[in-house]
Amino acid sequence: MPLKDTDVDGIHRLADSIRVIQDYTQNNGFDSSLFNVEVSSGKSEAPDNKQWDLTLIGFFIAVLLALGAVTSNVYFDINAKLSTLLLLLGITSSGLAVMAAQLKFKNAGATTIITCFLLAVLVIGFEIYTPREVADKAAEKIVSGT
Amino acid sequence: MIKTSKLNKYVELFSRKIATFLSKNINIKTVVHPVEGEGAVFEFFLGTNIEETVEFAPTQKSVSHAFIGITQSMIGFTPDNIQFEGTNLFLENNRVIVIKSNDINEEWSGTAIDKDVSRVVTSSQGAK
Repeated sequence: MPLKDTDVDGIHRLADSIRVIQDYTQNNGFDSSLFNVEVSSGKSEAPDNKQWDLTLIGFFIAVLLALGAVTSNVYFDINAKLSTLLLLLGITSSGLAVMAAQLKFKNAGATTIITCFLLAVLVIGFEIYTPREVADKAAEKIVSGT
Repeated sequence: MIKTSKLNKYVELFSRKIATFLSKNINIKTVVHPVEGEGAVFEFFLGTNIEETVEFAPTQKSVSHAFIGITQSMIGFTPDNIQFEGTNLFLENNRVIVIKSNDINEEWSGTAIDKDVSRVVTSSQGAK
């Protein structure tokens, strides 16, 4: 291509004026207190690791309690009062499990699935609904949701 | 990039990963700036009195236009004489600005987001 009619100086000026910013990080007075980070010279773990694990442990304990309540009701020959008590324990544990799941996963989808699962186990385990009725209701919800 | 699902995915993963480093009761409000060209710009506002929402700003021509439109700290540049490559991060006051300059999958992967969060956290504490 002939350069005779090209504004070479103009191209030089344009090239000089263009600034390329690549993989750059700039801190312009950011409020560091927004982060809970321990600064040390050694290698350290994520600051909220302990809290994260406690949430997970809490979730598993709550789920085990809920499943334990259902199992006790299904396998042991217990009276109506104790059965009601186990149902209340199951509901409370399920509520705690759902809260822990939301704190841990921060995902509405995961929390909804866990809620539905625990609810289905409770209503079937305490013979509030039969498995067939639960399946029919779930199918109804899915069909109406689509 | 104007693909909403991919932009939302980035916001979700970035927010979730950075949340593990936040102080107590700090919420994140996100403003996404989609662009007609490659890349996108994200603003993450951190604070206690902030509602956790994700807003989409009007689509800009390029990441340079989007960036110049939201910050005053680089006054003197015009969208035509500034060009972004890779992932650029700007932290000021209570705001983190993430500039993704292209649509390459590697730049939007979970590993890349981990790296972005790590850069934000280390820079927030004064590291370069």
